[in-house]
Amino acid sequence: MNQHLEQIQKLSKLAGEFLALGEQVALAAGVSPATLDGWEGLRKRHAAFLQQGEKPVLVATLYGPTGAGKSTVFRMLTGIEVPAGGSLRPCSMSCAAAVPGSLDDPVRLAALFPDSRCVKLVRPEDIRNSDDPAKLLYATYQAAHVSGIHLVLVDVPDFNAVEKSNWDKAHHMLERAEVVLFLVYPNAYADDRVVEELIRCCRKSARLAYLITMVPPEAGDPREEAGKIWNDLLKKAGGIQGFQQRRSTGESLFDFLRESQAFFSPRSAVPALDQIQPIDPTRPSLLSLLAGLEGEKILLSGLLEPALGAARAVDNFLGTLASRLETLRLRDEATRSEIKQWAQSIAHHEFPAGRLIQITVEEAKRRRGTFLRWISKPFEYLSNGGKKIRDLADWLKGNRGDAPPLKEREALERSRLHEAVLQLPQRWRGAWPDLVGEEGMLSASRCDAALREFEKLSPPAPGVDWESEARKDLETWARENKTKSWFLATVPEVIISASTAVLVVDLFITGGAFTAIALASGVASVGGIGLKFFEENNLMSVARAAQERWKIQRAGELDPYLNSAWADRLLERLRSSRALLEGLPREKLAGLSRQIKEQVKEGGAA
Amino acid sequence: MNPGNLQVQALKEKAGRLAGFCDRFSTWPETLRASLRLREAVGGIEFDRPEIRPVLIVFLGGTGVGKSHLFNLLLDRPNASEVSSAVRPCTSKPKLACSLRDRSGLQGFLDLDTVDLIEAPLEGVVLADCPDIDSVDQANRERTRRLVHAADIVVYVTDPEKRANFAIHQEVEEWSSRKRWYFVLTKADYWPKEKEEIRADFDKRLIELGFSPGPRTRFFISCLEPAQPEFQELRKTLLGRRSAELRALLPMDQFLGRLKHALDPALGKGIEANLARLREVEAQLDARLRNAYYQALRQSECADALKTLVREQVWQQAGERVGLFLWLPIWVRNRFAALGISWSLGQILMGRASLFGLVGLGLSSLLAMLRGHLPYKKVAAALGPAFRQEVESIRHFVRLKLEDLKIPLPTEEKEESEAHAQEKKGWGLMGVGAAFESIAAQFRKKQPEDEIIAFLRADLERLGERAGRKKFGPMVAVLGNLLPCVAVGDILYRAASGWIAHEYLPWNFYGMALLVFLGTLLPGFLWVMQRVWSTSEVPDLKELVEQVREPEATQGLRSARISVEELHREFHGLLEQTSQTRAILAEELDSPLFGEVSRKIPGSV
Repeated sequence: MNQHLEQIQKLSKLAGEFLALGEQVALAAGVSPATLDGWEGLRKRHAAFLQQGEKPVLVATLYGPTGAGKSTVFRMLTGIEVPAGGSLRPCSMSCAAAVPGSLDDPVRLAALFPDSRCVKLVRPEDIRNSDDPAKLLYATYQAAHVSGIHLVLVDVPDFNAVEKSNWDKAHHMLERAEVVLFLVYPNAYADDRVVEELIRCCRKSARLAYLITMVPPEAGDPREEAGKIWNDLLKKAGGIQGFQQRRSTGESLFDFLRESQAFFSPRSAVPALDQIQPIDPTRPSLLSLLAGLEGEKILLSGLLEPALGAARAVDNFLGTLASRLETLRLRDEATRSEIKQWAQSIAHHEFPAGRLIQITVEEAKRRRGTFLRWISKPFEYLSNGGKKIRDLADWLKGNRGDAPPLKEREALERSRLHEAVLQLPQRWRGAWPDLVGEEGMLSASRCDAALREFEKLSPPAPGVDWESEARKDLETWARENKTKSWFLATVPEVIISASTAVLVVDLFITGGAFTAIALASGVASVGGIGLKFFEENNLMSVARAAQERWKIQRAGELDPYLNSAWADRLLERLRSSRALLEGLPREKLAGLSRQIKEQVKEGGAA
Repeated sequence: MNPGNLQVQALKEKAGRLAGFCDRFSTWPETLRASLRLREAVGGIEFDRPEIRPVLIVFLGGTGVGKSHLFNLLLDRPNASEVSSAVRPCTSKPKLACSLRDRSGLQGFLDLDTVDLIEAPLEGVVLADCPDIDSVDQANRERTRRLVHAADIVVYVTDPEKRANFAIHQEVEEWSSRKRWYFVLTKADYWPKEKEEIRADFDKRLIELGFSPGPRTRFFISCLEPAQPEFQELRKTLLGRRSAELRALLPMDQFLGRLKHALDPALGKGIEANLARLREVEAQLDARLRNAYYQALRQSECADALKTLVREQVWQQAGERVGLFLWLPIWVRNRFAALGISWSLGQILMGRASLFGLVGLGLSSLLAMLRGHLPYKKVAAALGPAFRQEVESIRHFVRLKLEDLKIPLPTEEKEESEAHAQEKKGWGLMGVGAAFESIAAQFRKKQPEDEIIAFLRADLERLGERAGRKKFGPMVAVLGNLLPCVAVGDILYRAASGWIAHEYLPWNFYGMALLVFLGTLLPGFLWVMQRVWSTSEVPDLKELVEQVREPEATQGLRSARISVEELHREFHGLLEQTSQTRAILAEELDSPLFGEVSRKIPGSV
């Protein structure tokens, strides 16, 4: 006897930890743990076990389709006057429990029936009310002959009538009850729904009894008729896939059903308890079956079945979670690498050659000798004067404020960034159609919102690292190419002053139409002029090195910018759920589930 | 041809058209289902020689409720269909009872190999006992459904125990809108006391399903007591003689039932929801585009250009309004001004130098001068890169939104056909033609802002006209032309009097006269100039952008909305016509011999 108790205690300790961790993981993953098969059963029976007194409490539920006579049998077994046998279908809308006198305590009952609201049954017709699905009406009864245990008998609503809300009430009680008395009338035993529920009972209960009620007496011997039905049911069950599942003891549900005891009662105007008889006359009666329930053995079995179901369900759940995480991880990495590629391609296409020329000229000037400085002085004055005139012309034309030469590169960059945030989501939508749709992560509205937020921001200004590196290169170059360096230090001034002269003429003749040409001497566009400039001055290697550095540096700046300013917002769900799932203690839960299964094996053997 | 057939023909056509519409939206589950059901309704019913077709009455119910027992009793043959007291389900192959004469009429619409035929002395009626629809034997369900599908009238048989079973109710509900019905409760002998209570409760369930049960169509019987009046009534009703004329209406009734079933209100609701969504997004994006126009036109470059254009418009008006001699200098000025304005606007637009740009600019300015046109297009081009980006974003949004709503993009088709046409041309001219064509297409390519030009132009013209009217009244015309008039009068007087007196004036007189004339134009011209420059009117941009009602950028949404509207219209049109025809037919068939129909709209709770 104590062997069972020991097993229960071991399992109970594990189950407490397993339930707490499992609930945490499931809720975090957005799954209600109640949807995991066996979970509710384990939770309820475990919670009830912790509240057991010195005498084990067993719950036996009557279970069956509408009109099978559940309430009639309940009334006969307990003497509690619940409405039964009438013409209404369905008849009961609430669960009703018959408890031994010593359990007549709402607090004690609430602990034994977690999730139920226990209310003392005052008016029997309350059972027809369906106001609160969690309501459990109870009354005390005299449990004759039952010793060693407290037996609570429960009557539940049906699971197959048009009032679908009843179905859940029956299911909830099935999770709690260790013993099931399955009732059926002859015409319903082969109904699809009824067989489906029978499978459920075989999977979840510790002990099952099958009762065929209302066997028509006119067709012949009721026992013979009931025997035919029972054998036909077993024959059908043998061919149904659902009955091949295994219980904790290793036997199949079909074997479990076959070994369960079957009873019958003939149709009668005055139903009575002694009419319920075993189909096999050598086996004990229903009452002695109920009286002889071995408390701890059934309690153990009642925990083992849902524990096995829950462990299997958790394994499945962890499996789907792992594949979900894998999908998230692949997608997250794909998006990051594509953003990186775009950042690189943007950086590659926009090298600021003009800026490099400026630096080159600056460096050359810095190094020129005093002689050259004197020579170029007048040109410098001239070009400065020219700049003043240009500014004046701009002011007259209404162009207030400066137009820095780098504006063009920025505009180009912005338009390429814009293109990136238009193109990328479209590619991702093509690759992952499940994210498309009004509610999808990549819905048009979300893409657009992220785009508009992104457009409000400006890309970060390029750092100067590449410039200082280029200046170092130029130093070496200037040492090796003295003449060229001198030349560079002087000629630009001449060009600029020449273009200023052009500008003055231009202003008077055309109103400044050629102003733009003057700009060309200051800043070359990326293509032709810049390249020519570098080739002529043996500067190609310097330029190439500078461009390489620029690419790496700018890509390194744009990649995090695209991520933080845009992708983090658009892909928030993807990225946050990946982080969330990665942080869950999945391994630990899997370990617990393994332990539970081992414990179930050990307990099943006991 | 009888009028009924015409009606059916018209409905068939409509249904076919609606199915076509639904196919366009086959990515929506509701429309796909509707399309399949519509095609099934259109093609599935045999209308040939309806007068020889017997009425097919089918029993539908759970296992063990007594269908076979009832069947045997009605035929007066105890072993026609096997019955059992214990083992369920009992019947697995449907049994059909009919006379030899009616058998040939059945062949058109029923596969007779799947059923057991029993010869019975029935007239114009075929009675079918079907397997159950609620046992573990799934194949039974399929056999029954095939038969129910073909049936004209369904008898829902149940007993007091199974009368509230969910699975059976669901099956009845699924067929309720398509069939004509009788309802039979069996095993009345088990419940002698509660009989009336049970009957009332059963009626309640039937009313929930949309029926109005009454003694003509609902029977509570006992197969053990076939002599009871209610059983006799049932026998009379089911096996009674139905006139050939009314029987001939049954195929049409079935057709209408299937149509009604196809036109599920859930589909109508789905269409309406999508339509509302499309309208909302369209309005939202149109407003956004108008705002983009507004913001772009408000920026300083555009505003300056607009001011210049208004003044030019006033200049044009000045020429016409002042008229007479002053018209000449104003006309000359306007032609040259077109050149200058075009040039300077072009500069704003280009921003930097390029040789091609300058040449192009020069050419277009020259063209502007020759035509005397104002370069409106250039204002639109000055809307700026931010504006273009916004338009691009909106286009993109439209594309994604349609994808989200699972509506095929309407533009694809057009582009494809264009590409196809180009390809053809290319082949014809050995590829050279195609190359030219594609270059030309680049130039012809419509800019998104072209749409606002027309409005801008009309607006500016209106403004210019208003300002012109205000600035150049008759007073200006009279006073401005006064001096030239006097001069011309004097010159003409002198010349004429000289001619009359035969004293020919010296040639230099004409030269001087011309110079004097031109001189007298100057004060008037300066005055006009001053008045033009004092114009400060600018177009009301808010009003202007409001005129853009159907922007090109949201065209995709609009055409999608229009086609969903069409679908909506077709759906409701057909639904209404079906309901009307069905109501008329229901009146015709309003006899106990034809059962009753459900008034419930399928899909509603």
